[in-house]
Amino acid sequence: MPTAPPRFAERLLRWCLRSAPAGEFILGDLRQEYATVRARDGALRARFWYWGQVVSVGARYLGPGRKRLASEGPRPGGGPTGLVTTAGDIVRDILGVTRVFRTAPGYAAAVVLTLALGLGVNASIFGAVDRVLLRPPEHVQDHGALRFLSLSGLGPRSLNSPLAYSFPDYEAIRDVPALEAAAAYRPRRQVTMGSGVDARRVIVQDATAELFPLLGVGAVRGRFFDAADDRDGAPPVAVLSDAFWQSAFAGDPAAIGRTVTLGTHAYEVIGVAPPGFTGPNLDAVDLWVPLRMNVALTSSWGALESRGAWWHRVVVRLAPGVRDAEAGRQLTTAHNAAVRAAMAIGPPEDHDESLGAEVETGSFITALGPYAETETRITLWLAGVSLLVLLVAVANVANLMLARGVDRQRERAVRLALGVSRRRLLTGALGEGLVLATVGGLLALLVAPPTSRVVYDLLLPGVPMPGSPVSLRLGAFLAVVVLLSAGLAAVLPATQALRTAPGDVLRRARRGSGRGGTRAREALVFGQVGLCAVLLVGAGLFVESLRNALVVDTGFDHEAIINVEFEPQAGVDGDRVTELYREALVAVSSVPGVESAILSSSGRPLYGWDEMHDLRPSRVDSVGALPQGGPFTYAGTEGYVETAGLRIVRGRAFERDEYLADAAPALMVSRSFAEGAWPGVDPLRECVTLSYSPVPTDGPEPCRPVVGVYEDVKRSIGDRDSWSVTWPLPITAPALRGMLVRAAGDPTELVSSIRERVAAVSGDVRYVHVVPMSGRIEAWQGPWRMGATLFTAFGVLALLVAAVGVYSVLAFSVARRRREIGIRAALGAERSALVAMVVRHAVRLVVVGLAAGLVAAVFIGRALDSVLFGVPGMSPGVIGVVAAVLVGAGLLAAWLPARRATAIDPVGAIAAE
Amino acid sequence: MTPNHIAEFEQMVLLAVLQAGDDAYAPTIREVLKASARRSVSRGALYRTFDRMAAKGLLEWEAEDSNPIPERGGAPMRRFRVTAEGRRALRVSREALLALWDGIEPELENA
Repeated sequence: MPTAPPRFAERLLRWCLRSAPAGEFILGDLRQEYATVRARDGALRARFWYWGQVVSVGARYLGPGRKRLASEGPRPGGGPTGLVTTAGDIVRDILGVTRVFRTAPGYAAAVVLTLALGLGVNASIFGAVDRVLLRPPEHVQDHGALRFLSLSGLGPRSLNSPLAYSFPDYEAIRDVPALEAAAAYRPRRQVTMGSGVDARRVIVQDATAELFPLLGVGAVRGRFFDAADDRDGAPPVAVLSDAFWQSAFAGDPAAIGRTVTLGTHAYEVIGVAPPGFTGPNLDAVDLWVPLRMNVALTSSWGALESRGAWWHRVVVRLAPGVRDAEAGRQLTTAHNAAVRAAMAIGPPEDHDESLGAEVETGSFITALGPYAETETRITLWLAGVSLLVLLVAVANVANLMLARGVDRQRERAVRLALGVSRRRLLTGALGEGLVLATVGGLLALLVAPPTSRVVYDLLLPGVPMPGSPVSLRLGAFLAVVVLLSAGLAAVLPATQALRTAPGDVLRRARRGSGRGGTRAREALVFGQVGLCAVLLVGAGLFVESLRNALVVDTGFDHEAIINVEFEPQAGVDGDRVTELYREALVAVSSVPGVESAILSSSGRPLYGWDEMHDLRPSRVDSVGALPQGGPFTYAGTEGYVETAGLRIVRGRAFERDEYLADAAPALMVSRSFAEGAWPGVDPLRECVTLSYSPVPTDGPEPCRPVVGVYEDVKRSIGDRDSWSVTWPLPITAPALRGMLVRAAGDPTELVSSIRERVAAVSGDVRYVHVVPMSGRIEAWQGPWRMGATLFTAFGVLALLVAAVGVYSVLAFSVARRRREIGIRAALGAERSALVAMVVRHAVRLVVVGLAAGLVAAVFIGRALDSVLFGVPGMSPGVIGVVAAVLVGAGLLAAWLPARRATAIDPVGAIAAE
Repeated sequence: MTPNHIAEFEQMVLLAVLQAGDDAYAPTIREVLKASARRSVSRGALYRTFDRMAAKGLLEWEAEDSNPIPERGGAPMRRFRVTAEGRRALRVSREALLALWDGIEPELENA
C-alpha cells in the first residue's frame, strides 16, 4: 500500500483512539483522505496534514470520562474533572496547547519563528561540528585508543607543526611497549596522474603498511598493501578511494590489476577503500601508496634516513590499559636515545635539532587537541556562537510567554478557583513551550538541508560530507535542543503559573495594573542584549581581521602575476627541461594579453616555496638562523624585477646587460636584509657572496655588489621582515625550472591559453601548472572571510531577535501603563515628555545589557586572540561600534511604543477602566 | 432542556447526514457541512459529535465492507443514518424555530 499514512503517526493515533467507539472507522476515513490529499498536494504536505489530524483528532479522545460519553448515560455525580490528574490529562493538556495556534496566532508565530531561527542556526552548523568534533574519520575502529604524536621543545624546527615527524623519529618509537601499533603517513601530496590532455591532479597519501590494520579498516575490493609491498624495491602498488574509483574508473571492478601513472611511475591498482574512508584525517584522498616503497622509488636522496625531512605524521594505537602520561614518558625516552645514538655515529648537526624533544600523545580527533587548524578552531567558535543565538532566542521566547502569562493570569486564577490543580497549570505552561519549540524545530529541520550544506562547504572545504545533511544524528540533536530550549523558555512562565494566587488576581484583574513578571522580563532583555553584544563584538573583531587581511601588502605587485610550471615526461633530463622552458618562454611571450614573461631558477618564484641558500653579506661573518626563515633567494632572466613587480626602495633594478652571461655580477636585497645585515650603513656600497654559483664561472664566487634594495616580499600572511636576495640570470643559465608571467589585464583569462601553448611546445611536456598568484593571496584571507561572514550573519540575527525583545517589553509596558500615561497626558504632560519616558526605558534596557555583555566580550576577545589577525582581542573601536549599533537598535525598537504612548487618548484611557 | 432539543451544530450535522443520503460517510458529511453551511469543522470535533449523538440516539451507523476503496487499507467504513429519534428532534427544532421566526422576517429585511 504505497499511499499509507506515516506509520508512526497512525500508530500514535490508534493509541489515542483505543477507547473510541469507532476508532477503526476513523482511522479508515483518515487513510482515505490522506490518499486524496497526497494525490493533490504531494507526499510531504500530506504527511504534515496527517500529523495535524493526529493532533486534532487524537487530542479529543484522550483523558478520563471519554469512555463514559461514548457509553451513553449522564456523567455520574462527582467533582469537576480537573481534580483528578491522569497521564491522559497531561497528554491532553499538551495536545490541547495546539489551540494556541488558533486563539493567539500572532503570539504563536512570534514564538515559533524566534525558536526556528535559533534552532535553524544550530541545525545548520551541526553537520560541520559533528564532523570535526564528534566523529572520527569514517570507518576508523575504536578510535579511543588512537593518538597523534607531537614533538615539543624543539629549536628552529618549531617553525613546523609539532605534528610533523621525520621518518627516523618515527622508527625510533615504533617498538615502544606502550604502543600496540604505530604508523607514519604523509597526509596529502598533489601528484599528476596520466599525461597530455588526460592528465589530472590527484591527492595521494603515502602510508606505511601499518596504517590500515591500526585504523581497523579493510579494503572492500582487492586488498590494502602490506609489509611486502611497503619496502624498498617492491613493485609499485596503489589503493583507490571509493570516490576516485567511481570518478576515474566509473566503478569498474576490472580497475583492480590495471595500472595508473602517478608522476613518472606506473602503479598497479590492488584495492578499493570503503566508501567515505579518508585515512586518519578528514580531507579527501584519491589514492594511497606504500610510503617506504614510494620514497625509495621517487626520491634520489635518503629522505627516509633524514631527520630534516619532517613530512610525516605519526598515528599510534596505545596498548590496552596504558595511560597517556606513561606512553609519553616511554616515547620521549626512546626518541632521545635514538637521536643520541645517531649523533654518536653520524654528523651530529643532522640530528641535534631533534634532541631534547618531548613526545606527546594528542587526541585522534584533532579539533580536541592543541594543534587544531584555524578552520577547525573557527568552526568550534561558531558552534559556540550558534548556541548564543539560540540562547537569545530562548530568552525572547521566555519573554513572550511571560507577557502572555500576565494576560492569562485571570484565566488561570479562574481555573485554580474551579479546582484545577497547579500541577496541571504547570504542565500546561511546559506543554505550551514544548509544542511551540517542536514546531520551531520542525521548521528548522526543513531549512537545515540547504543551509547546512552551505555552512559545511564554507567551514570545511575539501572535507567530504558524510551522507545526507538531514540525518538521525541531526534529528536527535535537534530533539535534545528542542527539549532543553522548551524547558528553559518555560521555567519562568511556569513559576509564574505556580505563584498565581486566585483571590489577588481576580480582585485586581479589572484594574490592569499588575506588574506581573516585569522584573523577570527586563532581566531577560538584559541577557539578550548582553549575548547580542558578545556576538557583535566577535563579528566586529572578525570583520576587522578580514579588513586587515584584505589590505595586507604583499610587498610586490602580485595581482597580475601567473606562475607557470610543467612536469616533464619520464626520462626527460634536466638540460632538456631547461631547453623546453626556453621554448615555452618564446611561445608564452606571444600570447595576446601577456605583458612580460621570464624564467626563474625555482619552480614557483614568490609562491612561498622559495629556495634558501647559504650566503654571506660583506662585513658579516654568518647570517645565522633567522626566526622567520631564510634568507630566501629569487633569481630570474631578463625583466625579472619588473615582471615580479618588486618595489624598489633604494638604488635601481638590474639593467638589461646585467642579465647577460658575461655581465659583471650584480645583486639586489630586501629592505629587511639591508637593514639587518648592515644597520646604519649604505647598502649600495656593500656586497654579498653566494655559496654556490648560479652560472658556472671560473675561479671563486665573487662578492656581488648590491645595486638596489626592494620592499620585503611576504611569503605568508603573517610574514614579517623577510630576508631575501635577487640576482639576474642569463637566458642560457643551466637550470631554469619555472616561468613567471605578468598579464596586461585579468590574469585568470590567460590561464587556458598559456596552458595550451606550453603543452604544445613538445610531447615531452606532461602536465602544465598555470597558477595565478591572486588565488594564493586570497586563500590567505579565507579563515577570516569565513569567520567574518558567519559571525556577522549570526550577530545580525541575534540583533534582530534582541531588538524584538526590547520592543516587546516596551510595547507591553506602554499597554500596561495606558491608564497612567492617560492621566499624565490629561495633567498636561508634553508629547516629548511621554516619548522621553519610553526612550529612557529603552536606553536603560540596552545599557544595562550592554555593560554585562561587554564585560563578557572582553574575555571572549582575549580567547579569540589566536584566530584574529592584526586586531587586539580588546578593540575599543569595535566595542564603540557595537555599543552604537545596539543603542540604535534599542531606539528603533522604542519608536512604535513611543508613538503609541503619545497617541493615547487621556479621556478614553481613564474611562476604559 | 428536554431531550428532544438539540444544539445548533447537532442540527446541522443531522441535516448534513440527510443531505448526503446514500453517501453519508464521515468525509462526505464534512464536505456537505463545508459547502452548504459554510462551516469548516475539525475532524476531531466532528467525530466527537458523532459519538455524542449516537449516544443520545439521534444518529446510528452501519459498518460496510470497504473493499471497493483500496486507499483505506481494509479499514471498515460506516454509513450514517438519522434515527427516528433524530428526525423527531429535527422536526421539533424546526417547528420551534419557525414559530419564533413568525412575523420577524420583514424586520430583518432592512437589517
